[in-house]
Amino acid sequence: MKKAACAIALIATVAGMSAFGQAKYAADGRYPAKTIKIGVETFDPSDGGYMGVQSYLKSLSKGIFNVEFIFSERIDSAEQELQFIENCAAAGAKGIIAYYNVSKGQAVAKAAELKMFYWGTAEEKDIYDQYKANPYFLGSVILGNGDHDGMYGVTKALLAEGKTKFVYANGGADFGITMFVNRRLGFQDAINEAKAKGARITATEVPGFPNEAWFAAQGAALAGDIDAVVSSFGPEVWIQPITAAGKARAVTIGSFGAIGPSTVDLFKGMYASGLFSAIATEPTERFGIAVAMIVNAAEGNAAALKKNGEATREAESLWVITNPQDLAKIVDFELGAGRTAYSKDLTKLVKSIDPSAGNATLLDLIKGFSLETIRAKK
Amino acid sequence: MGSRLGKFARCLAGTLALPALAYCFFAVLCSASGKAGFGVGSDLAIIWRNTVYSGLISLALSFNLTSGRFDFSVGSILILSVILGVDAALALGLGPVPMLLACLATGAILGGLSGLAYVLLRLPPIVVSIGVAMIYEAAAFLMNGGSGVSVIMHPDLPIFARQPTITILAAAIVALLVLLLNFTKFGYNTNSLRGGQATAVNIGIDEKRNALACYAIAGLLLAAAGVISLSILGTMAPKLSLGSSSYMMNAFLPLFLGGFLARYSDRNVGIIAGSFVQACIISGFAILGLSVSLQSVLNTLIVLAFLLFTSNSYKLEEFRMMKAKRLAAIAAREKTV
Repeated sequence: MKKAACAIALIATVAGMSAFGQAKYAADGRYPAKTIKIGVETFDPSDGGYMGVQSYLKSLSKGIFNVEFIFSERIDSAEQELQFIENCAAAGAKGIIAYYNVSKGQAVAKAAELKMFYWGTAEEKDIYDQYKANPYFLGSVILGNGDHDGMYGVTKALLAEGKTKFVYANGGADFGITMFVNRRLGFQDAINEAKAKGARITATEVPGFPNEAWFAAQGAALAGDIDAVVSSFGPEVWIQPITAAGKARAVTIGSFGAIGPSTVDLFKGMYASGLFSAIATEPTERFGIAVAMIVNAAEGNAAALKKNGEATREAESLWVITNPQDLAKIVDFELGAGRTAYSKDLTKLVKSIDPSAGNATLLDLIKGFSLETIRAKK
Repeated sequence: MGSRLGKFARCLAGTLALPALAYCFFAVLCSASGKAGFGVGSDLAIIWRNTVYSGLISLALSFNLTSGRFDFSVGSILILSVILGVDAALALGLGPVPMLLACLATGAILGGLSGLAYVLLRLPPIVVSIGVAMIYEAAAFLMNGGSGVSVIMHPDLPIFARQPTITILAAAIVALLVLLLNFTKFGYNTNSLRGGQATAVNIGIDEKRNALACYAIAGLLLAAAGVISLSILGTMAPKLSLGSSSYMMNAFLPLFLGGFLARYSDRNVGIIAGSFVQACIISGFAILGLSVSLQSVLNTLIVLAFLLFTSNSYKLEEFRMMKAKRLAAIAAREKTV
């Protein structure tokens, strides 16, 4: 009789623990037991930065979270974007990660209407103000005015080296593409600041992206008297032309770019040859936070990470790398043991795993991938 | 002999007039705007480089478009042939010339496969080529984790955008095409099919075999253009969702100009001359510092204006003929009176 009572008590305890949200892992150790589907939207699947994010998300789904990603094709229009969100809902997705947003608030509204959590676009004030109280809008970790600040930081680094004769590759600024317009503003602000302090600086713009017109503008710029190139979309397309123009020793490059397995040797080589000065790069870790937040929200705990019941809008800076030592640290963090440790810590954001998960936990994790924190690691 | 020389001089002048006009126009315009450097020194080298690059893509397009086959896969063949060819060259430790040959062979095979799809599927060429383009784009993206190829760390390989290599490459290719299209059975067949497909097929020309060869040659030309692009930038990145179609946007003006100039010389020479005109326009705009959006608008207007002129030029000829007839009639009447 005693044995039966003990057995009943044990069963009741286990059942009770389950009922009170005991974390359930999949057989392979990933969390949660049941796969959660998440849609990821991009403007170009072959974009270098996005490919880095995609690779990171895939690594998270293999080792940490039991999630399945639905990656979008190239999205050019609001219609395509809303269709993608509808397709994700039809496929049973619980959340959307917006690497890109074209229809602004409509995308958030569509996701909410289909009962999916939306992560992203918190940097857009209009969207944030309108949806910050919506339970399906999770907000995002923002990069402040990342495009402006990144290009500003890169240009300042070149100015600090005494460079005065600049070429600026403006990418899509002439087409009014917001990120490129902001990057150009960042470049111009740094130049104007230096001019205000009395420096004599010249700046020539090379508009657009590589094609025949770009080759011509690039050639004309390289034929002039220059000592620095600031590129808004990657340094790769400048190295060969600078070398061919015989200016590899005279010209230094600063650029936006993505750090990944395919670019790391190039960056290291460029630093070693003195051709490279600074690179502004986006930390991919914030998209890891997105996954953890969606998993947490799908279990009904979205409110746990919010401050004052509003969607997340916490800021982190771009990484502006200005020396080979920082590059080595970042590479170790992004491609080595640092990322593994950081990824494991992401589970702290899931309330079912760690009941103490809250806004403070989120802030700690955001600080965890700042350049200062990474630099301080031994 | 004298009349032959005269005819040659007229043809040469007719072929070179437009390029010379474009060059002089922008030289004067840039000079008047206080912008130095157009068409001399490094700018002339860039004009020539763009001439060869766009010219090769236009020549590739001309092999199929003039026979009514619009080929949407040109950009994807250009990208994939370079990625595969350079990958092979890097893996085997090849030098620049074997790398070029590997890319050319790959381009010809990819072009041939595109032609085979057209011949076997019997669908409209634009539909087949869109399908082929998407498959080739995806294949290029699957190679090397989507990062394309880079020869930046191998400075001995990207030599085909420099002088004299680029000129030798261009001269060899154009000479080969002139020979091929004017002095071989393949050339006669191609020109017959361009003139009228139904008639040509009725007199016994094998259109399918000819189409296959045209696609393969186009692939080879695209690979050559791809190697020049690789030599300029040091990298070749894949594109998805028909993003590769942007490669042919600058190929239309040389193609139309080439068709117009063909009356004075050979279509292939005409296309290179047309490409030189376009390169002058592009370089002129760059030196004048026009924004990309304004350049796009102006380039489109130039293409439109030229199409308007060529599609109405027969009216000018008609007017001349009518005038000559009228004058002859008046002269005859005066004689009889």
